[in-house]
Amino acid sequence: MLDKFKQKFVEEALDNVADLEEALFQLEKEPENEELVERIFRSMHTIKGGGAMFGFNDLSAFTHNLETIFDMVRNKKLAVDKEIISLTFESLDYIRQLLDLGDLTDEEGINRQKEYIAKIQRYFTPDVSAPAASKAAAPAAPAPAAPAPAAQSKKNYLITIEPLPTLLDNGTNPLFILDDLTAMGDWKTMAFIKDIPPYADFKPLTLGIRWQVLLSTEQDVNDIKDVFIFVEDECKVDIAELVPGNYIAESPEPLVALLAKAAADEQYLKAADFEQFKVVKKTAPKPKEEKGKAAADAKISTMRVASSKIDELVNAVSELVTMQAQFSLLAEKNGDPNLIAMAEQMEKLTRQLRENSFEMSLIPLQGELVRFQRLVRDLSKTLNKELEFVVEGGDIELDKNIIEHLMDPMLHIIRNSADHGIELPEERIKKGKNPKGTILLKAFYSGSSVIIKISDDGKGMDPDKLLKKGIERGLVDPGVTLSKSEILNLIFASGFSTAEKVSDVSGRGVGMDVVKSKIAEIRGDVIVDSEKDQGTTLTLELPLTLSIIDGLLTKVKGEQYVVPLSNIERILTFVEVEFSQSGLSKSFLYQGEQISYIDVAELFYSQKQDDAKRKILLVKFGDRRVGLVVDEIVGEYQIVVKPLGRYMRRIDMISGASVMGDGSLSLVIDTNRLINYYNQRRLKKKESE
Amino acid sequence: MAKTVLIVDDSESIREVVNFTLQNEGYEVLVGVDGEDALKYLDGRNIDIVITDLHMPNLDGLGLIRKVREMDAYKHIPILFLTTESQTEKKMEAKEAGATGWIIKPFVPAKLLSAISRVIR
Repeated sequence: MLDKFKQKFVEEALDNVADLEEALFQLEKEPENEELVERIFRSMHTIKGGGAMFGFNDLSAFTHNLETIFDMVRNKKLAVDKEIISLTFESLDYIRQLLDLGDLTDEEGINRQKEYIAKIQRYFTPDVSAPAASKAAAPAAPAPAAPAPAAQSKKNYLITIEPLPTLLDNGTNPLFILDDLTAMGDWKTMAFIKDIPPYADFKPLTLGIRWQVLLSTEQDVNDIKDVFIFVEDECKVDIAELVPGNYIAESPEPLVALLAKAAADEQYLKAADFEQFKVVKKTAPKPKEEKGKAAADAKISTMRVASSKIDELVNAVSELVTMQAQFSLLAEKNGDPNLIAMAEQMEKLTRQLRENSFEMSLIPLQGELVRFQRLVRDLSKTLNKELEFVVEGGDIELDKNIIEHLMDPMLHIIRNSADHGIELPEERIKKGKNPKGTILLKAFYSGSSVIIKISDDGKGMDPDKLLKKGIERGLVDPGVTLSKSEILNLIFASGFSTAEKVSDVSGRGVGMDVVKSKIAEIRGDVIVDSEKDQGTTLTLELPLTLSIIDGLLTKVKGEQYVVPLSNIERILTFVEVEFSQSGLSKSFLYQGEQISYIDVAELFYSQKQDDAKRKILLVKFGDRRVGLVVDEIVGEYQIVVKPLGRYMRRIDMISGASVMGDGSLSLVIDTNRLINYYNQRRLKKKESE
Repeated sequence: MAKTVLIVDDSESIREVVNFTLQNEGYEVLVGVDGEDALKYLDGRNIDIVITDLHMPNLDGLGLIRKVREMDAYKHIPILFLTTESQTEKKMEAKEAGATGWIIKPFVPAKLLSAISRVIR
């Protein structure tokens, strides 16, 4: 890139040389003229600087020596005499040559340059340290190779930065310094602010902050010092090396405590404070003693708590969330600013507490999956099948209550796959499949839900067979046409078993209907998909947490009902859709899709409403969508779901109740069950007609 | 918004290289041929950083730095100076005049940009 500027530089340098010549002629006449000396020095300086930038290194080195003479003249360390002037004239001719030649390559030229330089250097004590001069003296000598850096691990530093209050005056932004430091590795920073005066006396352009930075970096002290290069004089910087170890990145409890204390006391940390993080080198034997000692040294970082205590905590926090909502509402009504400020503060704390306690009850799925590994291994022996169990996304975390509810259904699904899904090795070979069958468990987050897909590459389900069985069991009326997914969904009907004969492995009376209802208990859903000879996939869609959900508060006949937000796809107004009715099935046309709908008021209160202002919630139902008509939508709320009392257990389309901020009660609708209930009732009605 | 850089150097080739490098990086560039000339840009418009040579006719770098620091609008903007001297003396002088930092000549574009990024972001 610089090449295109090279020619420009040569032209400019030639102008400079001409100017130099003219100035020299004048200087010859008036050797005391300081302005002339300054002009000469400046021109030489420009040639030197540009020379180095545009690849004229020899020129730059040579001119450096010449410039040194005039620097001395300028500083009255040397007087201009005839000899200096003629030497300079001679040098100018040489500079012209160098501008033409570029860098010297031939030995003759290099030697001649050495001679010239030696001649000039007689005027001053050679400055060996000047890089340009030394390079000219030995241009061929390669720079001594830097000692190969030993494979050094990270070092830890405590950097104390005390800027002068005037640091901001010359345009320095101290935050950039912190940025540069923290970019070098793992870090912790602390600001000390007690020098900042109270607001009334606060001067924004006077710096009152001091910092301490903990840095764990592979770079050395000089690289750290380099960051402060522009502020050496405006900043007192102390760099202390700390005991090695990975504690800065890991940030163990004692370090957090140490930092918090230093910040609270406005007291600098000292290198000695970090001795406690010294890693005790383990000498091989005496493991028992070592262990005991380590245990004594180490601060407790995790602890076991009875899960019932966590349940209690989560329950208490849920109550608190409700109370807090009431309190906020009260404060708002009251209008007292102090009370409102308090309510806001409390809301913040409550949210934090809720998140913390929620996190506490999360456990990774992986730990529980080990037993399935074991199960599949055992099954492959019992069934004489080659089976492999693969887990993807096992590190996903779920509410422990959900995991507890999940274990039996998952166990059942995996057993089914092993027993009915995957074929015997010889059969698989005949089909051109890998003799080894795979059961894949894949877990991932999707919005506010967790999806667990369990699939096998077995023989899949035969819809014709399923339908036949459905008719046999009286679950389907003969002559009714069902879609493929409707047929597949028959497996969730109670009393339906696909296994031709009850086997040891899967035939234990637990059918897929139990799986479905178990999952529904935790507000989840099961979807089945199967392709003949390719395998079956069961998808479990689960909420992240049980007790607190995002819900849409609606009103039906003046009563409050909450619909979980995760089930709602869209909210429609009556104007957006076209209603149609054929017999008992009510539906509307939306975006070219015929969607059946349920009027909640009609279902719950047996009352017809004709208010066109009502809203339709488009909710997911398996792979279909169903409309729920409600009277009014109030808004979106965080809902703490409480189970209904014993007497109401049997109303399963209501999954619980919640106390709202104003103390009123709302019922949480389980949309899947509500739709199922509605469909069953409709069928019964049909029969009775 | 693009940052505005005022570069001041009496060497046309240096000006061109610096100008080219900075414009390539998306900076707005104002160019002064010496301290005196640079003053015409310091009329209250937004300038994010000044990069100046020290040895210049009319008004030299030190003089320019002092003048800039007297102006209310530019009292606190970063100023970098170009220098070949590695002597601390010159640096001290410039820093006392109010410079923020320096760039040692000769420099490659990357070095120029990294020096700028030390003081404006």
